Amino acid sequence: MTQATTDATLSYDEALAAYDPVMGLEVHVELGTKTKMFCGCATTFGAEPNSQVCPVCLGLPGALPVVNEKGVEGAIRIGLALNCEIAQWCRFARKNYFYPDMPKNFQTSQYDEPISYDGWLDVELEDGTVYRVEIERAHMEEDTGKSLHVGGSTGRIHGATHSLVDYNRAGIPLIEIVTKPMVGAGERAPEIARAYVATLRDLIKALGVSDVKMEQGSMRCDVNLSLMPKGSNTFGTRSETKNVNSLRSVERAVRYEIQRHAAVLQSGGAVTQETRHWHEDTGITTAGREKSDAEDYRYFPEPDLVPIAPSRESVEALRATLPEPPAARRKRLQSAWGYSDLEMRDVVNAGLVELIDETVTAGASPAGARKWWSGEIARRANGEGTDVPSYAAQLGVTPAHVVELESLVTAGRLNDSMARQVWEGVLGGEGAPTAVADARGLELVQDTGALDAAVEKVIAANADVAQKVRDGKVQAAGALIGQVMKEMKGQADAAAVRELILAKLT
Amino acid sequence: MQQRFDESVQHLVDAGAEIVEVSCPSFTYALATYYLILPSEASSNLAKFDAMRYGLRVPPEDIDDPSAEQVMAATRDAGFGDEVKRRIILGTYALSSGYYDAYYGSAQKVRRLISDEFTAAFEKADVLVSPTAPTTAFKLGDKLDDPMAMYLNDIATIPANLAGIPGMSLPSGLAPEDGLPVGFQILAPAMQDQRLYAVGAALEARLLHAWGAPLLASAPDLTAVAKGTSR
Repeated sequence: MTQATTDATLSYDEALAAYDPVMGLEVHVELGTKTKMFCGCATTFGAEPNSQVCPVCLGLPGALPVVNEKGVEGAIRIGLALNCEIAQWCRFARKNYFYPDMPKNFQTSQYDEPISYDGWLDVELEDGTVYRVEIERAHMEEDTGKSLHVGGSTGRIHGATHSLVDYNRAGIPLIEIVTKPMVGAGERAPEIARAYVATLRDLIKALGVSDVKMEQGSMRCDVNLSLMPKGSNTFGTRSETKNVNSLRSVERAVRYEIQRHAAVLQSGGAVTQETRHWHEDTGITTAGREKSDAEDYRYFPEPDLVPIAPSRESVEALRATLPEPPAARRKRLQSAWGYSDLEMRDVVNAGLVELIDETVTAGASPAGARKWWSGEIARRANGEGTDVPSYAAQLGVTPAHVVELESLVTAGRLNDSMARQVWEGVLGGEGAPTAVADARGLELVQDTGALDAAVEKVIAANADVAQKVRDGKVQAAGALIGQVMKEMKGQADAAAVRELILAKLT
Repeated sequence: MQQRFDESVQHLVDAGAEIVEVSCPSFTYALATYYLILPSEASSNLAKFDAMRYGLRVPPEDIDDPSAEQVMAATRDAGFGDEVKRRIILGTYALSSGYYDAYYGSAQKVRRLISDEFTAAFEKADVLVSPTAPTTAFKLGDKLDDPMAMYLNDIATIPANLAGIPGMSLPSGLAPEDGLPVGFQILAPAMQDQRLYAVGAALEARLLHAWGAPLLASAPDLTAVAKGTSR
């Protein structure tokens, strides 16, 4: 109990050769409502501890809860986006257990009457394979407070001398989304788990009901996993790995548990039904509380709250507010923009879809929008440890700037390398593209006399190269173009220079 | 008691009421139903008294460095009286896995039957009346060792609690057998509280007229009684 022991694992390939994994994921999403689920307290993240509390969320005697309508709407919209049935009539239920961070010593949740049930979510894997995840239910509940264990070396409850509790989080609306057991995922189980959580995150973000920040705990994932011998249809004993809170960890935790279960089974042992802790640093799980002394939560319908009976009209009205699913939207935009799969994936991974969409809408070409938002600015944003959209917002650089820069190129005022200099100036806070170009004196030389003179000079100075071009070696003209550009201090249109040289020599 | 009740009914008849009898057979199970639902909810409601955020905190005497759970247990043991503990234990049991359907679940079904019977009864009558309790008040502390007898005294009022309908109790005079007050209960359908006031006011006016003074005027002088017993 004091020191976690490291469990044996089987290699992944051996594990998969002998067993089929069965996986279930429980994802908790904190809704971004202004107030808590059953009282009017604010929900701001990171506020002074215990500054957002009242008699209801502190569980003071005599306080009575009232349901937050926006919370119910958020729950229904998530249910609809997950293709769920929405209950005609459902209730909250009390989940009874004693824990200091739970003010009432019961959690107001839902039990056998969830608001949404029987849905599905299609998840696209890296190679384009689509895996359908069946959704068992998505129900409403409230978050607990947060315990801080003080005086121990680990920050865990063991060894701590005392604990502090912050009840600001107590009562914040949560939606718990539970999948049906995923069977048949085989070796792709870890990949599917990750893709499911990522797809769910994007979907909920697009709904605008939560900021779904795994690192801040507004989206949390528990991984249930069991193995069955190949050919068997009987589920094995499962473990529940709690708080696996990044996409990468979800994938690693599934993989690790497959290997650990396989080692237990292979050695003739029995898997213990228990809660496991995930260790991000070492990539392993350790035993938590055993579930065999099955906790009895004594669920019963919450007598202090009226049932929730959303009318079919209100459900349809909420359905009409659903945005285009992110995956479908990406497909539509990729085709409209003419990006390759690889280009689109890069754009998605860099979080540039919105920015490019706005930029194209503002009048830029899709290729130009992608080029300007993923070059120099991405390098700089990365250096600052942030992403392009946040960095651009911070600098005050907008889609309109990209449109303006591109128009300077198409109008023939700037060539590509000049445009890059202008963009650097824009990123450096020197102003809008035209202003930067003016200030830096960047403009293609329109004076054909000066250009003509420069070309003549370079041809004369490089007679041997000029001769090669005359002899039909057109690619040799490149060396001449470079020299002319140098002569013109870069302020010439390379294409025009090339044309002029070829006209004179061929 | 019966005499006082019959008198009050006669007063209502004199005031123009029409009397019909109704039958609500499920009320037989009201007490059993109530004493499953109430302790169940109470066991959960009272969980908030855990010594963590407010109220009593009693560290266990025989444990060094007690855990939060041990402090909760010791505090709840010290702070709750016998009847409260009895209800918490009953309720926890009734909600437990494996017993829920037989106890809490069945009680909720009977509760629905009781509610339905009220609805049917209110189709025949605007209000229902009965004695408030089967007996006059027992002496303070007299039934502490007999909780069942204590619970039985609630038999007439509990159906209204289960159905969620409003009720009113009026003093209807003193019982001839022991000189203690007898209550007269009036029940109305949900959201029809005004019927209670209309019927109650009519009855009260007639009782006052018959008594010639409020019932309280006939109460013994408590200071004299107190001195009498202390001597």
